[in-house]
Amino acid sequence: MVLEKGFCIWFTGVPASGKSTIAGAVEKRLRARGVKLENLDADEVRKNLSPDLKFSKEDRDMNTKRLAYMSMLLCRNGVSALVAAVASYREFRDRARRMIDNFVEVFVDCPTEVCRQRDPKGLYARGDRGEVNDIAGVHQPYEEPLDPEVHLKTDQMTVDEAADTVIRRLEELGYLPREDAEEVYSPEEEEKIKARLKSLGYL
Amino acid sequence: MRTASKVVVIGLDSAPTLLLDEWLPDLPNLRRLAEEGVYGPIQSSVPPITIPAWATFATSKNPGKLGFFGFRNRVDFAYDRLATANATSVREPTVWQILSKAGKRVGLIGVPQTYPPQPINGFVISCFMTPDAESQYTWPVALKEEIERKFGPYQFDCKFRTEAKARLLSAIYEMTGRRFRIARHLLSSLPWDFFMMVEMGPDRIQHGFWKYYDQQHRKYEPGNEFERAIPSYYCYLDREIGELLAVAGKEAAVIVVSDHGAKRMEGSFNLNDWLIREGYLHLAEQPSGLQEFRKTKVDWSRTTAWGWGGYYARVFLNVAGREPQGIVDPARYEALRDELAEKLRSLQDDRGRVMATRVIKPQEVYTGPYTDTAPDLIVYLDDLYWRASEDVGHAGLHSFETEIGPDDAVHAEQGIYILRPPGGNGGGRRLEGLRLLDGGAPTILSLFGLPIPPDMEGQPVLL
Repeated sequence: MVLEKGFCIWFTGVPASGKSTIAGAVEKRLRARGVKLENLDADEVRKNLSPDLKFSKEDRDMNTKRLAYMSMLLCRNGVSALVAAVASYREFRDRARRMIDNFVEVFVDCPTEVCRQRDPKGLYARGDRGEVNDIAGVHQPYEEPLDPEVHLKTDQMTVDEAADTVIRRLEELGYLPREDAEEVYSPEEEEKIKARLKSLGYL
Repeated sequence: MRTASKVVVIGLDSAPTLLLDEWLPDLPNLRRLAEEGVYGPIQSSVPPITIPAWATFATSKNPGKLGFFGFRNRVDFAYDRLATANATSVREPTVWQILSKAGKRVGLIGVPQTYPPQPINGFVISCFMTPDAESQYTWPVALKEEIERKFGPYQFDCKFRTEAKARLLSAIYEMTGRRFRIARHLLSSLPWDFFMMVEMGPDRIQHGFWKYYDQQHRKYEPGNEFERAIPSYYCYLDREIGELLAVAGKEAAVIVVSDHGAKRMEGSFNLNDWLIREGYLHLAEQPSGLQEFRKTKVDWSRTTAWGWGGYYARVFLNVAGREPQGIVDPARYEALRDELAEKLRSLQDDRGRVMATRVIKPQEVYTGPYTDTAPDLIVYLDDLYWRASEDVGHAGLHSFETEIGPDDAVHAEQGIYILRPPGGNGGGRRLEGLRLLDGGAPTILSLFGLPIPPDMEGQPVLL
């Protein structure tokens, strides 16, 4: 599907909250619908484009700026971008929102204790051992989004439920055409339409 | 025929052939288009209703391929699973999708079945099937805010159910004026190659004011204050069209089209009450007065047929193995259809006159995978002069005071079509035999010099 402008979905949340996992599930669903997109995973981008950057605030600033800039380039050429990056400061994400027309902020919200238990990359364990001291939400601030387009509580839902929620929101926002003709109208909306049609004599 | 760099389609929902036959002398802009092009009556879809007529125009496919036969449609053969047709119901490619893919910039305003708006190479403001202005009704998403900032809240439709006719009239004018203002604004500020808008005002004014105009209407009163309301509105519309075309530019090819026509309503026939009387429909509970059919408990174990109302009637059979509690033996299906058809054709109006009712089997008029999911019988009561009510509990079979409001006009099978090619050398010829299948997608693609997909059912209108 060729869109005039792509949309950028920015998954933000502390480490191990589920950003990459959900982004991957959303990517699968979007590709199945023929959406042209790029999944800009922060770890991959860091490795390939920014190996010099670490995790100080200044480095995080530059990293998220690069991610936002790439997303902007993609979006303006009709390719959508998925970004899974902590982006711990609100100003980073607000800057991305200013740079990109169709911006969807997804707050991947998970209590630190649950993230610790997951710890797929062993980051929290290393933090406990004193090997790292710059984990967002532990050593450094993580500023929660105040008004994200989607708020996912990932300790209370499955990956599939989370991905479906994101897709539904994209449909509501008009970025994605709805697949199912029968689900276009909510029951209240359908009653409204029916009342209108009945008053015109169509029913 | 010279190809066009721009094509404008102005849809006037429900504009009747009277426009071509009687009113044209008073409509200078439309008259000029007809003189510089070709024109004539145009055959609508079966049924001749906004949905599926506009989709037929846009896709050049019949309802047997589209899969919808009116505003609401059965989802499957269950009794009460219905869906309201919308943009996602249109699975065949529309002319604007084809143009968009070919790199043309398209703009749509108010075209029926464009809610929810689908991504396109251009802009979309959706149609009156949008719940309200809170819905996401534009593509791109940001267009909604821009329009509301410049023009205020968008008006999809008028509040119709009113006896305050003067108020309804000014609401129709206001809605029309605003839509044309937005159209002129978008045409002059955004790049476009194909633009289509559908104005619903004609349909609304006809449903509300036909009895004041048509001297043959049962409720016509000579010298009434709204006698000229309809023709005057068309004069106003003609002026708006002139201004729009001035913005669109001389090099644009222009199509003016209606999805069906209009004529006087004789009355409302109470279809389900009749089916009850004839022993086809059985209720589990007797209605205590007038009752909506969907709120009525039907005894499906004894029912062989039931109906839906509107500007055309649908009859469904309760078939064993198809419907959940079907009792009609499939081997008897055709015989029962024929029996019902015969009785429907013999129906009389309130004066004892046998109506000229037409009964159509979908297999006779449709081709495509959805033919067998269409209503078992498509019924034009008295050639559409009578609308149908599916409500039960009426005192008799013929009703004239409808509780809904519009009791004035019904649909006619023929609408209008005017095509002014680039260069305007159509010669002012009147064409016969035009169909919506021809006048829409194939003709528009042909105007752009683009190939017509072989599965389109119509032919481009030749000049």
